[in-house]
Amino acid sequence: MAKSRKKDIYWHNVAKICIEYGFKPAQTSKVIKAIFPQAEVTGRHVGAYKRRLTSEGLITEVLPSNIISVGDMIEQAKDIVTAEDEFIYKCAIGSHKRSLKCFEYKLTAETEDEIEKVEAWIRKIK
Amino acid sequence: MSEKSTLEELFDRSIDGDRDIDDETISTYESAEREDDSHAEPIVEDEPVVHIPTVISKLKGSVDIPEEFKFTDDTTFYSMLRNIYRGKSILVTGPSGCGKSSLGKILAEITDKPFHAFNFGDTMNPSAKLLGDTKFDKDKGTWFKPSRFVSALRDERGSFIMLDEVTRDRTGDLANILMPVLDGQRYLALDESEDADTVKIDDGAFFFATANIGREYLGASHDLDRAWKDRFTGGIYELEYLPRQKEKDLLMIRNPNLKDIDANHITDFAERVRALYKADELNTSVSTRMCLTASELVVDGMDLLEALKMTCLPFYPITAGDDTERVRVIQTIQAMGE
Repeated sequence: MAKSRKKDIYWHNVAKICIEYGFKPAQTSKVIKAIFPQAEVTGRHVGAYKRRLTSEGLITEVLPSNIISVGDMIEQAKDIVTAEDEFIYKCAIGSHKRSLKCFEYKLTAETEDEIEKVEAWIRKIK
Repeated sequence: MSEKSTLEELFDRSIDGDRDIDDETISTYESAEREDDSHAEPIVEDEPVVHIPTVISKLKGSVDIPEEFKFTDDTTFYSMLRNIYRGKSILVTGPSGCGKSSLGKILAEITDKPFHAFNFGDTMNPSAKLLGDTKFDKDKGTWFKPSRFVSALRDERGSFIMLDEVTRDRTGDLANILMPVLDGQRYLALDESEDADTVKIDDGAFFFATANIGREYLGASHDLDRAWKDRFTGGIYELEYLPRQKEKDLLMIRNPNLKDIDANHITDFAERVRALYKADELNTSVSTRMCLTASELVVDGMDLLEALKMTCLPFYPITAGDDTERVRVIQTIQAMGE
C-alpha cells in the first residue's frame, strides 16, 4: 500500500469539530487562532482541509451553524485540545523562532561594523 | 454434454433442445458447483483506507526542521521530538565536538521546556551534584541543601534535563544514582537509609544524555555499560561528524564573514584528518567545534594555516621522530596551502 502523503497538522482536530458544527472556514480559522495564537492558518487552509474531509467521507453530518457562537466554541475548543496537539504547536513555533535566529546572525553580521567595534575595544585598553 | 459444463450451460442447452431436466440432475450440478466455490478464493471488497494521524505524522506536518538541525536527517529530528513528548529518555553518543550538546540546547528551545544542564565532565563528586550537600548554619544547625538537579526533577513545567558527558564519571556513583531516575521507577532517593526521602520525578521531565564513545574516551572497552544503554528507552542516537558540505554550510552560517575558499579548506582538512583517524593512523580526530574555532580565527584575520595549527596541534602529542601523529597533521595542514 502506498504511503499517504496527506499532511497532519496540530489544528486539524479543532478544525474538524468547528466544521461539524457548521462553522465557515473563516470562522473556524478565528477559533484556531484564538487557541493557537501564532498559528499561520487562514480560511483558505481550513477550506482545503474541509474539502479533504468531505472527499474522504469523514464528515457525515454538519449541524446547523446557529447552534453555538464563535465565542462559545473558542471556550469549548480550549478544553478539547489534546496535550499532544499543544506540544506540537509549541514545537512548530519553537522551530520557527530558532530558524529566525539563524537569519538574525546573518543580518547582524551584515549590519554591524566589526572593525569599528574592535577599534573601540582597543582604544579602551590603551 | 461435457463433464465440466455448468448448470447455466445445461439450462441453455435444454432450452435450445427443448428438453426437460430432471431435479436429480440439477441437484448433482448444484452440489458440484458448491464444492468448486469452496476452493475458490473468497471475494473481499476493498475497504476504504482510513488515514489515522500519529504523533510523528503530525510533527512532520506541523514542525519545520530548523536551519541549524541540518546535520541530522529528518527521522532523527522528528523521533527525538516524539521521545520528548512521550518522556522517553535518549542518549546521544558520538565523538567530542560533533554537536551533541548543541543539539540538546536546540531541542530544549524548540520544545519550550525549562532547560537544566548538568555536566559530569567537571565534577569530582557526582552524589553532591545530583543529590545535594549538608550545610551548617549557626542558628539552624546542620541542614541538607538539595541540589539543582533535585529542583529540576520537581519542576512542574516538565524540565528538559541534559546530562552531559555521562561517561566522564569514573567513580560509578553517577550510574548508580541515576538508574532509578531513568528507569520506570522515576524517583530519586536522597540517601541510602530505609526511610530515605525520595523525590518524585515530574511526569513531564525528559532526560537527554550525551556520551563520548570511542577508544580515546573509554579506553579498551570502547563502549558503554549495557545497563546504561537499557535505561534510555527513547533510544540511542549515534551522531557522526557532519558530511563535508553540511559542515561547510554550518561554518558559513555561524561565521557569515568566512570566505567560501577558507570554509572549503577547513572542511577539506577535517575530512582528511578524519580519514587518517578511521584508518587508525591517528588517535584522535578533528571535531566540528575545532573547525568552528579555526574559522572564527580566520574571520578575525589569522592566516588559515596558522589557525589550523593553533586549533588542532595541541591535540596531538609532541613525540620524537618524523612519523608521529603531530607530523602527519602538520603535513595535512600544509597541504591546504598548496
